[in-house]
Amino acid sequence: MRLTKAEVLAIEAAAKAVLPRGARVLLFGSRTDDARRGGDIDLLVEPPTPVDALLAADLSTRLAARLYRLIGERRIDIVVAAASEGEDRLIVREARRHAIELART
Amino acid sequence: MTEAVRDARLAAALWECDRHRAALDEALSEWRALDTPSSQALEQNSGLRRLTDQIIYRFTKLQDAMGERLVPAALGWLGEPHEVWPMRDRLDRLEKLGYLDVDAWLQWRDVRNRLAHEYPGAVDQRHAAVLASVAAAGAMVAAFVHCKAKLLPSP
Repeated sequence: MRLTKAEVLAIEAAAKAVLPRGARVLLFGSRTDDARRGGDIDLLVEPPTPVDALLAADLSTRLAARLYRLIGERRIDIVVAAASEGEDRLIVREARRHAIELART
Repeated sequence: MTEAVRDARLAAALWECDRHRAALDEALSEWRALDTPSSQALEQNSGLRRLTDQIIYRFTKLQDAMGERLVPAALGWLGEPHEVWPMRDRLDRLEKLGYLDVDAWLQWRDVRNRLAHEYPGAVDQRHAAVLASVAAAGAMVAAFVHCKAKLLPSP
């Protein structure tokens, strides 16, 4: 996994500050691969219950803004999908295959 | 920098922001007169698309004008040695002095970054991104009005 200790701690702190209790944050995408370089920080957020697209956008924005505050503005891509959801989005199915858990709230 | 130059820079920055604020106010009034459009309406109604494009364009321009012009001009006018500060330090200082809210600013940055995504096939996500940008545009107008009133209090 290619995140610094400070980045992991920031993600944990940001998740606890803005996400509902019982949520999980997982890393997916190129940052899970030690052999690659650079790339966005791709995060899969799993709220405890399904949320609609409007609430998902709100959670993403609040999490990203908190991370910008803690580690500076980065290319952070956040996908929101509750673990219990039957997911038809390819991005979510791909994210779940290789995701690494970073935080629980 | 002389006082006259500082005043002129602040006046120019406020003027530029105000132009975008006025256009945004107009477009937002038009939007608020409507029922919140469905995702289908936003996809299919060309008049609505033009209106949201106008809001998003001015939202982006106002954020640029505030970040690139007003923030440095306000700090200069306040006598803060901001020239070599990174953006975050500039925003933090203005927040400390009560001119803006950094959390809100960073949320607007994210809303804007999200607009850059096209979300192919994801109608709900596109709809959510547009509604979030309209809400953010309204909040940014209010923030600018607050900042301007604090910089230039009425006599």
